[in-house]
Amino acid sequence: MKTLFLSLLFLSNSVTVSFVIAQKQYALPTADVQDLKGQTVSTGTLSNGGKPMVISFWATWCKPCIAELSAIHEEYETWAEETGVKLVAISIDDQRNVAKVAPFVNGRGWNYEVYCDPNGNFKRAMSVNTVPHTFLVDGQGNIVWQHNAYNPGDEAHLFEMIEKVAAGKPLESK
Amino acid sequence: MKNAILSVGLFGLGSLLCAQTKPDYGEIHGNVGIDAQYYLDDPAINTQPVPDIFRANSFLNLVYTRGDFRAGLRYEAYMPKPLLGFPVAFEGHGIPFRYAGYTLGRLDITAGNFYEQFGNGLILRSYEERALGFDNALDGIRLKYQPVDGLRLTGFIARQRFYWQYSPGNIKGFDAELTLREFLPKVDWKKWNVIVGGSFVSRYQPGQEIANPDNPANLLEIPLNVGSFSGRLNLGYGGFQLNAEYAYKINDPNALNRFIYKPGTAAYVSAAYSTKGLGISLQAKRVENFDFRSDRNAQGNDLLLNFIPMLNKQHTYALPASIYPYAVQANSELGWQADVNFTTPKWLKKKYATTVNLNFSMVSALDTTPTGDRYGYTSSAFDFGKRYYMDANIEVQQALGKKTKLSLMYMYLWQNQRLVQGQGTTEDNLIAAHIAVIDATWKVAKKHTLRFELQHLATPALQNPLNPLVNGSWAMGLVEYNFNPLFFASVMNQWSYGNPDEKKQIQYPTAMVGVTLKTTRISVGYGRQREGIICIGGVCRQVPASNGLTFSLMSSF
Repeated sequence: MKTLFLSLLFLSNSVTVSFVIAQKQYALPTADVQDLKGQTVSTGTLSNGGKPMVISFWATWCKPCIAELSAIHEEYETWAEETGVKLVAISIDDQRNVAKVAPFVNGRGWNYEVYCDPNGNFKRAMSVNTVPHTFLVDGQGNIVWQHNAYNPGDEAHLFEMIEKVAAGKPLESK
Repeated sequence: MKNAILSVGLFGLGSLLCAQTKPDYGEIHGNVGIDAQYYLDDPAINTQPVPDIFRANSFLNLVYTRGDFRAGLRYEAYMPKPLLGFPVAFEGHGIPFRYAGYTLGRLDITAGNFYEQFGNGLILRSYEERALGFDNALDGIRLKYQPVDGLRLTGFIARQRFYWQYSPGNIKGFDAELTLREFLPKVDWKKWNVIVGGSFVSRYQPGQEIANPDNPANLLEIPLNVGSFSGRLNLGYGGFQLNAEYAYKINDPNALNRFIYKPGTAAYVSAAYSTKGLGISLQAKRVENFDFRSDRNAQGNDLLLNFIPMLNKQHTYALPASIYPYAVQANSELGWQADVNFTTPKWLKKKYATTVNLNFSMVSALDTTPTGDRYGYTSSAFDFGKRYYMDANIEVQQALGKKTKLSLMYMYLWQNQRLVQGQGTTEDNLIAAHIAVIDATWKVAKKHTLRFELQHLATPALQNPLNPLVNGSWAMGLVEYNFNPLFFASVMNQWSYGNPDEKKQIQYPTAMVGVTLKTTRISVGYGRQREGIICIGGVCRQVPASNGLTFSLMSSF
């Protein structure tokens, strides 16, 4: 029991650390993913030419992910016009569903840049536990904000963050 | 005491991390999770008395990167015992996963633990599915090299993680993939995209005495090296995409094929077409004697080297996903799947578009004839044997206004439960069920959302069910409240009201509350967990019934 208590103590300590670190900017890690044609692409090449970029981890079987990407889809054109933002959707579907990702995305008319990460290379490099997990990357390629889970209306908060990043404002204040 | 030192050490390390985030020293990131449960006795749902009524599974991943150098480790603790349903061999704690790697131009080297997948995974896939307690990480050395643009080579030599030990078999693997567009950039490829690949994976395992199952007085001659090969093609033209892979494994007498000498084969083909508003995909596969592990004696989910993709929809609603799930039968499968997605076009002038998904899948055993010798059987190439599973479903999503979204699903499911679950009965258990799901989301006010789920599974009761608690019709309801983006609470109940035995008509209520703070999610739940099979990504695990208090924390940083 003592061991358990101590273990929990160190874990809670790590969580405190996570809050500290999560506030800071950090660079996008590199890992190999596949585009929808099956071609290997390094995430080091992901960029939006100095404009903000959203990286959203999702899966074809994840209902909240689909709700989030569908909600953003409705407003994506306006978002892009106003801030130049680009959304990169990383599907963590394994090989069972990889062949279904392109028909799924096109069937919904989504205009996102989509990659598949069937063995979780990028997911691990980004320390993603569960989907949906959304990252906001600034024009210099640094991760400046992230959020786990999605509920209807969350996209409005994401857009506020995108606007701040596009305008070069700090994110600290809500 | 040792544990205490370790804990304190990690505590110190945690504190040190704060100081190490300056760019000069590289960066540390990672994630952490705890799943804990306090177990209560509940004979009505068939819980087994457990000596350790409080159990927790925890992990901490740390990834360090500095320029082209990276290193990482994962600490895992299953204390005092793993949660019920997880393999008991996990008991204990330690660092089962650690690595260091360096990228030097076109060469990348990893020493220690790594995950890898060749092609579709038919002969190699090493990965982790934490929610199932599944981790077949490799431990050894891996090189990735790109001698010219478009050509990617991967080679490794490793052993496989086996809880807190390693596989008895040594694994060597090599893969080459050529993307013609990058390899020959001067050619005008127009809309064409061609990728070809080939892999080789072999297992070396020392010999042992194994008696002939058909004639126990004789010992079998066991091959020490088992090699497998595969070739693949990925062909794209505009919105069309074709992906095919064929794999072959030399004789690999093992516990799951009753030590026969027949070679194994696996074929997988997928064709897809999509354009804005419409997506269609067709998949087919044939798998014969293709269970491949790093130990010829391993069973269950232990030491799997390859991954046979399932060909049915990955259901996530509770009743379709968990009452009669399907599990891959790696030694004999012939099946196909069709999937269509479309959205109503804009010219229909509907205010809110309708999204529809249609899916059909069917999987059978191969049609085989026993040979009576140590080669086991012969099989017909494309004739279906006994059917395992069939599933036809439609899912429709429709917004009813700015504030209300509706999702409806209907599914017809057919399953030969005896063959799929492989349990020791001789009678086929044929299940046919109609399942309906209504899922509605209502945005009550800014930041306040309610979600409702109603599910029903209708099936006649069986005379001799494999699991008497899962017999007859089921109903399920869920209400979830969300205060964005911070707080959620949900109440759910599953009810086996159609069980012919009235004592087994059981309610399984659970309640859960949680908070999400950016990338940290903490939840507390209380209620009954049904005995059954949980499947994630094609791997399934039997979970026993339980009742109690659960606590979960997940965070990434």
